[in-house]
Amino acid sequence: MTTSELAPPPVKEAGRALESLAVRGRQGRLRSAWRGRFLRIVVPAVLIVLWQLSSVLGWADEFTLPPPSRIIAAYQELWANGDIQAALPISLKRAGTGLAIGVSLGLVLGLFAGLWKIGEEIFDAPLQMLRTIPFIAVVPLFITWFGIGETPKLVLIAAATVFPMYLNTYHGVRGVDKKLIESGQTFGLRGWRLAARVILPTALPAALTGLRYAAGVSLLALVLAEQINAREGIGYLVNNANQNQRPDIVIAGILIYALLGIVVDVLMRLAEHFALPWRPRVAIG
Amino acid sequence: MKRIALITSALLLGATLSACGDSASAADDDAAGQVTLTFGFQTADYPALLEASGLFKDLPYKLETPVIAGPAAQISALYSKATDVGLVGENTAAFEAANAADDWSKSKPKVYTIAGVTAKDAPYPAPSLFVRKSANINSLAELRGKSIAYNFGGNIYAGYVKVLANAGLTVKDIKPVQLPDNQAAAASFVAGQVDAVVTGYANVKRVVDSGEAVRLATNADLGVIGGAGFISRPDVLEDEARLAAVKDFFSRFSKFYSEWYPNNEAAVEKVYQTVLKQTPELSKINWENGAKSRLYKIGDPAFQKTQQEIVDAAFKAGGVKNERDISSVFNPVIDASAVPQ
Repeated sequence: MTTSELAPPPVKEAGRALESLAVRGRQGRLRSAWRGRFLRIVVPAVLIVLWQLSSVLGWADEFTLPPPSRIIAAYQELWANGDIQAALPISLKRAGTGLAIGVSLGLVLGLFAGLWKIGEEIFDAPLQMLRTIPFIAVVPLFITWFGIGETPKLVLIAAATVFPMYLNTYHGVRGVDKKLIESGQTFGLRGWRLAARVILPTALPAALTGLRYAAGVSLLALVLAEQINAREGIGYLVNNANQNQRPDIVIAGILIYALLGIVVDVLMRLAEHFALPWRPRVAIG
Repeated sequence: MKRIALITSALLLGATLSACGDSASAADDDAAGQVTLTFGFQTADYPALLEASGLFKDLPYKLETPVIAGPAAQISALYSKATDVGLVGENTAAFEAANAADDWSKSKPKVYTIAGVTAKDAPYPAPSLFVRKSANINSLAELRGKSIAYNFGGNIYAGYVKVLANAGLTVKDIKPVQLPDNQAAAASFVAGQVDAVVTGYANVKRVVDSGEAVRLATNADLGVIGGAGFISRPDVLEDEARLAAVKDFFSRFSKFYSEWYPNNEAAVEKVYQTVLKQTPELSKINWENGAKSRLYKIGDPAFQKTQQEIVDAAFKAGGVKNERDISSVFNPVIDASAVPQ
């Protein structure tokens, strides 16, 4: 028996092994994807069933924790009265306008403080102080300064969203690898060209994280903003229900916020996906 | 680069400052010279009820009714001239006087209480003191060592400090639990987290109806009028045209409470249910209370005496900074024209 009869050619065997590994890899990824989908649906479904059971079995009374059936009835009531249809566009417009102002300001300030020492010296300390202000405490002040129209609502949302954008942009710019900057300089890039070609693209992931976070904060700020002379809006619905002992509407409003949060997050992920196609997607398991 | 940075900084600061000047003043009247009266309410049912009553049509002035929740925000809106009149508690202006840096009894008050509305003989008096039966509290004196939930400002706080004063207790003798609003205080009581609460019946109905809790004292027992107070600024009352608008509004408002509201249960409850999303049960309770509401004379010395007692009790409880004569904040400018004799 010759050696060639005993063992298959090594290249062919390695090819098969690689093919087998690839098939197993594909199967693993498929299994993982289906597991992910399954868990994303089943876990919330189990929680909703437990929630309903807590009421049916008397673990929690309907006032303390209204069951999902009551929440659905609350949605029906709000829909029939046209409250949701009226509230959503108004709230989204307020959140969107405030977010656009806050994010623009945060981006400009973050770039300023990140790119120039003098920008950091002017803006960083005041912004670090301002970002710790509890916004609930300044609502009366905002009324004094900005009146009772739309301005204080938008300023409140903008003020809440400026900080995440500023901080992330600033740290994104400051965190650019020095070797990249040196490489750019070796190729003759200076000033604006260096900023536009090297620093800003490298800082973009951090800025987009800031935008994603700020988008969520804009929804949270709505609850406070819509305490100021608002008769429509999701925040107004929640505040009003809270004052009139309608926990079912409060939870319904919270779920609308949760849904909006998911929608906003998906949009931000899509924006990141298209803006940062080169970024690797790393996950363990 | 530094120049660009400095110019941009200056522009940003300028934009911020110009935004500050954007607030509209309630004192701005229209081009034809018609007065605009901006009346701040705390809940959206009021504007809807005023409209439903039909009593505020064809006004000789323009009426605006923004909804601004909470006494602090109402006072801010009034001081900033975003409103001319605001709905608060009957003692809010008195508390402002006791917290002011200067003594308003010696200088001109910055804010006046000009009217009050209360539901005397209401079936569900508020604020009241409710206690859990399990806490074994049978008299005010037995509150010693017990936890009492309340929220700061307004009638609830007035009720709380009068509970202490009437019981001969201080805040050190009890376990005070201050919560952000009336609903939070009531929720802590319903959940069994505290022994007592100062609130309205509607907020704790469930535990009272089930027999887990009882009402120990009403607002009348405590010496608190309850209901709502209406505040305004000196410059509003000094402006003849605006004062005429205020007087006209309260004349109609008085008629609204004495005639329209008690005779239109269905319309009132519909507003509570559609605008405030109240359950039919709660809207009925609120109508039954509201049907007893009437404006009262704030120039009445007996009323002012009760207010002084409340502020004195609040000072002892640490709720206001100064022990002051607060009688000057009550300006009975509409008593004669709007309050029934």
